[in-house]
Amino acid sequence: MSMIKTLCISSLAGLLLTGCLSSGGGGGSSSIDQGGGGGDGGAGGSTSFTTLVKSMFAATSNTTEPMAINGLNITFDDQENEDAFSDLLSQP
Amino acid sequence: MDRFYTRSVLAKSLLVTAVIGASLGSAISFASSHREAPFITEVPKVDGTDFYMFRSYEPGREDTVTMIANYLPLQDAYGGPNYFDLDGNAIYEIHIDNSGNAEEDITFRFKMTDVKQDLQLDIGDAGSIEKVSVPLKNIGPIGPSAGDTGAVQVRQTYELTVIRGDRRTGTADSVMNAFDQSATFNKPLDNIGNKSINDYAAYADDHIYSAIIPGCMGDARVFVGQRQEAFAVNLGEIFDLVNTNPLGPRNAETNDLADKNVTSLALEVPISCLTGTAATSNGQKVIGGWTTASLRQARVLNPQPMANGKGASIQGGAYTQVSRLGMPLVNEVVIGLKDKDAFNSSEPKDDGQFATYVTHPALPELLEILFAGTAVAPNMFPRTDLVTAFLTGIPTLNQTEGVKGSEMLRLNPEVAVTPSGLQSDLGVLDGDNAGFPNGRRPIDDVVDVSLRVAMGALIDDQNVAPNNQAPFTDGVQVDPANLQASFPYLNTPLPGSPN
Repeated sequence: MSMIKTLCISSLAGLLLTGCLSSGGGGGSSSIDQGGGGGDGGAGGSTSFTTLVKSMFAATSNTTEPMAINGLNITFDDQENEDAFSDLLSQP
Repeated sequence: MDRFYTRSVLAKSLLVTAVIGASLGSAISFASSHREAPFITEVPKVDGTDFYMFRSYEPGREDTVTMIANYLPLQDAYGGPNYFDLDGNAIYEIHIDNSGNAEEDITFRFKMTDVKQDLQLDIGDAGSIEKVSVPLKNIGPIGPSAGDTGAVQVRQTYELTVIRGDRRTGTADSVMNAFDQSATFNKPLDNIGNKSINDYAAYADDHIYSAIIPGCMGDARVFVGQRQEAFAVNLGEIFDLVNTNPLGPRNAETNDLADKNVTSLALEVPISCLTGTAATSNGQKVIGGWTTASLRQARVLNPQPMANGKGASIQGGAYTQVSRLGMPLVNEVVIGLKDKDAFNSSEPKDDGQFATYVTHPALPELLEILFAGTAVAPNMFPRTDLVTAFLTGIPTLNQTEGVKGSEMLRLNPEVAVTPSGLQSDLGVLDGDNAGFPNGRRPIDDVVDVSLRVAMGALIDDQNVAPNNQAPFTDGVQVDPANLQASFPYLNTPLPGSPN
């Protein structure tokens, strides 16, 4: 799972949301869901909001353009998970 | 007072031009750019309100251009205890297009940093003293020197970067403080009041820095800080279905912004450091300018701000533009409500998406509806007059050869300055070619000018534009007493407590 997550984030960091993402429930776990939007977005897959946000953080840079999100089918699976972003908040 | 002797000259020029390219932008309007789009009302610290760009008229500085980008609107001077710091997670930028292709060639990027110190008082009985942090921003006098900050808990500094080429991937160099060669500049605290800052003007002036811009010969100056709001408009009446007489006296209404402050990012740069290949048909250089603000794309609220050393939120991702301002008032009343957020995130090179708002503007039609029998909208479509005045520039004055139509403030800095005190607030429309829309000075009454142009002031044929000589006005003029004749030109901010 960790490797999958790393791969997803790496892919997103390159502004190519290839539809990794989409998770069920807590902890920011993610799964591959082919066909999600990229660039201006293509319809098809779903994208976990939590993973999307973490991917954006992973792509923090002064020299890149923001991720296009209009074509994404964003799912909100972590609304009851208070620890969804704990790993982000605990980073130095 | 109202002279229109230049109108026919302008109109003839417009007939020659009639440029409607594939990429156009926007135009005209009413009340500058305060809280003009739905999203920007949620992030006022990055809400650009006015952008000025003009050949400097301070005596001895005529070889420079001054750019002033105002942010954070409608500040009540008494807004303590936190007042009106800028956003330390944002970037504020001023872009210059000097090649006429609607893309930035030079960007000046301001990045703020919070500087904090935990001021504590010893409280308690002897032997059981507790050190307790104070709740106020300052617990003693501040100034008059910029370094007099011992009594201040939170202040801001900033770095200024010049980027040549693309604003994100171009070549970036730090602008240096000419005094100590550092890359850090101080922003004064807001004008809390006369007890905290006895001589605010002197204190603020100590934050005007001579600056060294790498690759630029000559002195630059920079100032970031609170100023008195310079824009004037009867905001309440205007947005109440223009609840005023649009043909009444020019200065008979209340300036609703008269008691407000704003935060200015002011930069004075040698003309030679800004101009490029863009030039008019008679070879005079022209620059286009606009300001933007950007935030990180993602934000996570911190449910425990004190637990991990982080603040109330953390931000990450690429910088994402949320505010844009070039020509005044555009997003306020020209762009349709549904597209206002899109406009704020857009770039001039993509302005074709907004072309209809200029070629077929809604504002004149609204005025005709609101003032039936008085206001008659020009019957000419597409509105080539507006395209020229606001998207391509005026031929031989500030329109560049081969210009790509786009919304930005265009300035021909070779036009001689009009000294302070002699400037016409109707600018080019009144024969003062050093004023709006050849750039924009603080004195320029862009509301009246825009109203008149929207109603056809640049169209010669009165059959097409029956109101082409009507002196439309919002009834408020900029008060020259609220301006300064030297950098940073906008006045000392109003104090939070006047006594």
